[in-house]
Amino acid sequence: MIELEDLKQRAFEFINNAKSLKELDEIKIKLLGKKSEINSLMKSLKDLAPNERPIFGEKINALRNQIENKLNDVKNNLFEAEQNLCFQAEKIDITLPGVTNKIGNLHPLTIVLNDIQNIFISMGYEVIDAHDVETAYYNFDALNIPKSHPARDEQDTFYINDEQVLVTATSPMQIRVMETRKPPIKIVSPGRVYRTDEIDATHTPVFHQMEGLVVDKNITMCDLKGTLDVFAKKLIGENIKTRFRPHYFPFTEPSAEMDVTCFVCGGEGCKTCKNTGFIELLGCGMVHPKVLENVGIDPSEFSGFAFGMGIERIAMQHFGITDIRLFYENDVRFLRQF
Amino acid sequence: MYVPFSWLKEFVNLDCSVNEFIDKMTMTGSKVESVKFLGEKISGIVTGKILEIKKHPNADKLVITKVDIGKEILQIITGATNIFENAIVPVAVHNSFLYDGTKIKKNKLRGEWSQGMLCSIEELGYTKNQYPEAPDNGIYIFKDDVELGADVREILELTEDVIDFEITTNRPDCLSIFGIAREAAATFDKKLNYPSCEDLSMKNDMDIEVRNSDLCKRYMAQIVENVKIEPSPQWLRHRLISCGINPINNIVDITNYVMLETGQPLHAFDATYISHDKIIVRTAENEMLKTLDGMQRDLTNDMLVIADPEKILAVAGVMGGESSKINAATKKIMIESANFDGYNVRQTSKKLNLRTDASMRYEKNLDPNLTEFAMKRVIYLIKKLNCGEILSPTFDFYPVKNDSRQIKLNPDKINGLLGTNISMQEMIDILEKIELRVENGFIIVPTFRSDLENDADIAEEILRFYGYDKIPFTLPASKNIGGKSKKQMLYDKIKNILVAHATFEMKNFSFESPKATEKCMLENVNAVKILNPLGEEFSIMRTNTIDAALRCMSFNLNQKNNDLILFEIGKIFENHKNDLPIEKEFLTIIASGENDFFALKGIIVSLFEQLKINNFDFKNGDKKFLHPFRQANIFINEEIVGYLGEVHPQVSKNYDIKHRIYLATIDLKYICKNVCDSVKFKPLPKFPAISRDIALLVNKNISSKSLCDTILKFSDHNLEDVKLFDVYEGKQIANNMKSLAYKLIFRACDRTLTEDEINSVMQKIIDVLKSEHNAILR
Repeated sequence: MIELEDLKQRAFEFINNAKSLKELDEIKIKLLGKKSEINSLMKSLKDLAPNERPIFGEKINALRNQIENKLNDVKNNLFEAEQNLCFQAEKIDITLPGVTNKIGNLHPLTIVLNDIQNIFISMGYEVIDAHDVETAYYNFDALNIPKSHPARDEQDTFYINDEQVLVTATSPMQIRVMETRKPPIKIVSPGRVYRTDEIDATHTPVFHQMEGLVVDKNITMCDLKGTLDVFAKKLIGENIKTRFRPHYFPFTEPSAEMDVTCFVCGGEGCKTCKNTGFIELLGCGMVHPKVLENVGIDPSEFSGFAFGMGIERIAMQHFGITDIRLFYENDVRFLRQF
Repeated sequence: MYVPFSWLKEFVNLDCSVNEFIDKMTMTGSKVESVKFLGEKISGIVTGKILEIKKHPNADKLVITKVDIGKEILQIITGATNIFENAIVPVAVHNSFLYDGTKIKKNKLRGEWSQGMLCSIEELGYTKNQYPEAPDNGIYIFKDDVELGADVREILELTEDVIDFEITTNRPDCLSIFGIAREAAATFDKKLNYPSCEDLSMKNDMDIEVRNSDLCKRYMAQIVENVKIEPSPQWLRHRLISCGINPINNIVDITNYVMLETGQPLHAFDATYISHDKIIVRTAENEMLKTLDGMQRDLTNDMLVIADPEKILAVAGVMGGESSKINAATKKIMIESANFDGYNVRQTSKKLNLRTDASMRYEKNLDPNLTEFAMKRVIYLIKKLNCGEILSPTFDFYPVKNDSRQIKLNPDKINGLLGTNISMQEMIDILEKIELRVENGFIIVPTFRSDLENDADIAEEILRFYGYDKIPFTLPASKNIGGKSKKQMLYDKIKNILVAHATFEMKNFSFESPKATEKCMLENVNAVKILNPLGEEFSIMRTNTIDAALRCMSFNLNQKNNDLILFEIGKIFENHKNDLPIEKEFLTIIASGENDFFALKGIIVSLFEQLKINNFDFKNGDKKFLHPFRQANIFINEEIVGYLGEVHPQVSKNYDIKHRIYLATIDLKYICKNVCDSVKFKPLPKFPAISRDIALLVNKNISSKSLCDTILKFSDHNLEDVKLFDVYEGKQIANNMKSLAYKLIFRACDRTLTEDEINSVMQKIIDVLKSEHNAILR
């Protein structure tokens, strides 16, 4: 008995002194291998009286299990310690730069236009492409701007000939859409528009707009307000306020301009918003009954609203760009910022 | 439209602040552009009495004055010669500001202290025209009775808030102080006070002939005799100044004043210069006229003019002639208050490039009934200011009277359009505020509101004063399905794929210079020309996308942005007989720096692969503007869809580009046509692939494509892919040879291929390559 207890103590001492996994493997062979003391004790069982054999055998097996458990414990500890050493040797400087693939960028106007389109798509609007050159009929007459109308002068139009113009707004698409579809109509139409403005920090002769049009039974001014309020909040932020002011457009009546909380001062009043706390975002209104008549939609049965916004202006506010020319210079140092 | 706040208050008893006024007016539709405070640029300038003038000991042309500014006496040095003791003058004291932004500080002049500066009217920001009592050159002298030390702005009546309203084209009635007053009265629920007027006695006994009554709906004229031409009183001059109009003399000032007040342009002729005492309103017959501004004007025969039997006196509604201009000696005048056709005035003004306060009002189509209101007011002021005598009745040509229109008040329709529930009575109350009376269910629209025609117009009037902000936010019930078209989504996808390949999207103007095609060595095409371009640079709609791409690249290279790829999806335009121009969409990619032909080709292949376009190919091209041996036509399904290549050095030079650059253009019509939008799943391979590498030594003229084609042709169906992985030309091989290394990948779908099988196929391939292309296995 004492022999077993002594054996256990010596074995544990060996195991505890192991310095490496390799050494531990050697110790394991020594303690539990064919030539080990335990093995010879097992072999000597046959020399005992038959009634003592099972008792003693059980004890030797128990000892063997204890040694095996001890070996496993120490093995785990040694493995962990050795792995830690290994890890430490593999330490890297994580502040070194990452290896990146070169990537390009969409133009900031595309980015903003996509954001705007997606908001309207989420509200069930279809996106329709626009023409750059239109007949004077679509650009003016059908939109309730006859030749004698003073508004026709203010448009600063580029002419191709007497009959054709470069579109001065995306509004002509209203007419094209209403001529070819029946209500309910719910579309947005982005496009390029042209005005005879000399180039400066706030003007380019080519710029982008997006038109919106809804025509159905029972469309009201409240629907117009609600739609554009949702749009402005989704585009700029839930906390902003919208303000609708009466305005004039030949093709809508009543007409309005929508202002939003000034993005510079947050409504407190500053130079940018001329101390009003608001910045103009877009023009809108109820489709003029004459426009509906022009496309053969009965204004006593249907009503609608339309709106139009300048993409450059929104992008400039959104990104804090102060010179519109940057959009068309395409300096890659500018393009990669967005 | 400038509106001095004090002038407005003459018609409406407003008790609010300017800011409150602006806010509320904005919300009822009178949009404020800006507010300026007259005299805001000058500060610290006070009245002072000159007590003493002494010679400057060290300067002949300077004097030293002692000036009493009320609370202290200052020593000020001046070079002015018009000053005298006891004169009261404007004194810019230490730390004050002149109109031009100059800050005045005390300083030593030739050894003597000067504690400020004596000012001329110009230094206060005005002219002798505006203050006729000011001396030609010298210090402004006040009247004797002004308080000393007072802010000169108070004395010169420069303390006025002037509000600049943006007036929309539908509201010519608001191009007047009185029109704005009417809006203000309705906005603030106040009574509108009409200005004092003189009753007219009308008799058509003047010799006035209107030949074009379509262009002149009404012509009123009044002779004024014994006219005394003088400067206007200060209050009147100030009102003109604050509206940005230069005072001239009492008669001209009164006509301008009444125009600002009522919105009706008026003109005063020196009647002595009207030959035969006859006025003819007619169109010009290619004549000339020297206008008031001293310019000779060529008048075309569609321009309406005011003439006498001998000559033209004025361009109707635009500007008077020099000859009948009111001058200091004028004794007898004819005042004109007429209504001219807006479109005609607009065309005339455009052709003459002459836009005046009169023409910008006329061109919006004024109410013919306004002429009478204005004439009554002018005569009242002429009498009040004692400028002359009215000895004869007023002439009035008015063949077709403009009557008020009636519109049925339709509350259900209006509420339906607005989404409101406003009662009929509330609607009537609102309409009456803006002088729209309702009788028996009909709205009587005054003639100055010709913009009101239908329910929608009335709805807006009601909503303006009910409050745009008082109606709720709702959403339309329409159940439409939204989204982008297939083409729009494809374009989005193309852009995103290109961005992932390190390219940047550019946007260019749609204009082009007619020289661009030559610069790019392109063929001339049938360009869409702009009639009124912004210069030659922008005079045609672009016929290609290359010019813009090259300009962009040139710009970037100049900025030292050397290593980059740009792309654009944009339109080009082509004339189309009797129809709108054809608009075609192109993808253009331009690359510089480390990006060569193969970088660009790689992007295009990658784009096609990701768009699941199969059966594309590149074949040698022959574009003049590209390097003759570094260019390719791009084919999809045997059709040319575009090209790519190195830009010809001559073209690069034309754009000041010194680097090699690469360009690709693809007509997007073909992409739309060939894009595959039904991708089918292929089962994953069950058996392993086996690859073999071969390096072939061939003549330089042999294309890689022809080798690949041969390999594919003579292999068996188990050859899955052939990939080029190395190209070598150089010292280790003969001069005219190149080495191409390929990886051949074999796989069978039903078993693992054996070495023997592959070896026999490889041997066959090698033999054919040798016999067909003289290829030597390295």
